[in-house]
Amino acid sequence: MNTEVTLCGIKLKNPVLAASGTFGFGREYNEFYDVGRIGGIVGKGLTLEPREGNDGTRIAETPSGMLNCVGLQNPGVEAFIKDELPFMLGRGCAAIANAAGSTVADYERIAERLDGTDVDMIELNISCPNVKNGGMAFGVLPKSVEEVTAAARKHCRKPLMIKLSPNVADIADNARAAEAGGADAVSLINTLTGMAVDLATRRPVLGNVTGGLSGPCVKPVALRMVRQAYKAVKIPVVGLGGISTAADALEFILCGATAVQVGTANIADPFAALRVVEGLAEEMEKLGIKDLGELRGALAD
Amino acid sequence: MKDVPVKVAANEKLYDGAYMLTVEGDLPPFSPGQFAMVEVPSGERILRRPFGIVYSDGRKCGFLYQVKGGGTRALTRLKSGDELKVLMPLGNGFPVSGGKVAVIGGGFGVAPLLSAARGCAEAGAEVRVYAGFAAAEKTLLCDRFAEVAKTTVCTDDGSAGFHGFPTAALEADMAAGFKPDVVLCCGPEPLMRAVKRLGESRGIPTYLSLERRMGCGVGACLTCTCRIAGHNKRVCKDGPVFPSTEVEL
Repeated sequence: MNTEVTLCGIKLKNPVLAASGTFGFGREYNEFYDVGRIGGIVGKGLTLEPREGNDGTRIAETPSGMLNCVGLQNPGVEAFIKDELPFMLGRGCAAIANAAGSTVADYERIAERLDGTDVDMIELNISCPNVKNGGMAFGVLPKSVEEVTAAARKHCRKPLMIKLSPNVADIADNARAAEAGGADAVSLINTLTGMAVDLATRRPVLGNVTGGLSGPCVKPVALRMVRQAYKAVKIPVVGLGGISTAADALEFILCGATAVQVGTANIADPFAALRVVEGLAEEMEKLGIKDLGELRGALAD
Repeated sequence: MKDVPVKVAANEKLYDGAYMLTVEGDLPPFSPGQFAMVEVPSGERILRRPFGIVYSDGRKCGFLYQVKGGGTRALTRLKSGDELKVLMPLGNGFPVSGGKVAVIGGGFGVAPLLSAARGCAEAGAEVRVYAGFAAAEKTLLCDRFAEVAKTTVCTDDGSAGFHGFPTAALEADMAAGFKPDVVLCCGPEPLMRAVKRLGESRGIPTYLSLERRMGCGVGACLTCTCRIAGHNKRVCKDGPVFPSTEVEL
């Protein structure tokens, strides 16, 4: 049974990555299991300077999902390189840095800084719905997706993956824009913008009023968009959105994903990403496949 | 820190909206004031619920919970023998010390304090517990506190014990000569504000156990943060217990 995949030239022992923002830099979950057993870790979204994130309530549960408005709390790229990256690099799985910014210049500088490190890959976060400046603003219109991708591209030789927002008119256009800007891969979907309200107090539940919806409830949207992106571009597609089992992961691969990311499931169950990895062989056997390549994109639609 | 498969031993209603869930399993040891993330037996509720560990003897462990929404409502339907997972122990817990210790709780905030009172008593401390509730029929764990320390039950309406807030009961004892070396507190924010003020004005080291909506419970998702000494810290991993001087309430 071959669960190995190659993503932008990087060999992954399995296609399961931990999604940014749900896994820290791997330390917390490494207390439960050897996180080197998953295909890779996408670290918490980084900005040039440290960020405290948003005030007030940052999480609300929804049917089969959750909303968050953390707002990119992170130690900043320099502290990441000094304090967190060595840990990630020592795990024996792919180390992927997630970079965010408020301006195009921020994206250029952070891509440049990360390019000088040993990270395997950079995921560009142009789809965070919880920050006032930048974030998702860059991910909505295809023109700005292309612009910010091209800007970061100029400053980094490492594989560059663009994390796409689902809060857009046509995901295929945005995937094509990332490709045109020089991306090596796209990952999708980031969270869907949502809201929770409290009838009794007549107030929004979240401190930031709106938040990003994630979890099993978004999986159908994610599958649809991964399929559309897969058909629109030639670069690899990394699928995420509501994956909590190996079967979920294979559904994304069937729709065209080269690799997948497990996010919210880690929050519900600290062993979630490992369970997805451990379940792959059995699910592949049920399907009568020996290599994930036999399934990739093979949806008969 | 383990994700322990457990069986429900009891799920007892204490009064409308208040339950004590007792689970059985191979439970890891815990420190006073630590908490657990308890799985909710409902397909559509994906997040676990953070509850203070009231007690645990390695085989059985108790959680006090208040019915606040759909998740805790689903918990009330748990029956003896039902299986679920409990992630524990989590967080830093209360400092355990000798000397004289004042333990102040309000409402469901008493949950993590029983182990703190017991731990300090076992360390040789003179422990006094001040437990505040709305009314006599809303009191929680009072008999258990009385087993480990001198306990003053306080009610807002005077229907049981001391009439007034637990801070007033502590102040009365202090006026009568009780001089605590440390104050441990968990409860609603107005109570914690009053305890912070009282402890700091008398120069007594005071520790507050905070409550926040939580996601992972292990420090990864950054959804349960609060302002600690000017920075957003994780209640689940850096806390839930913080020195009052660092807490902005």
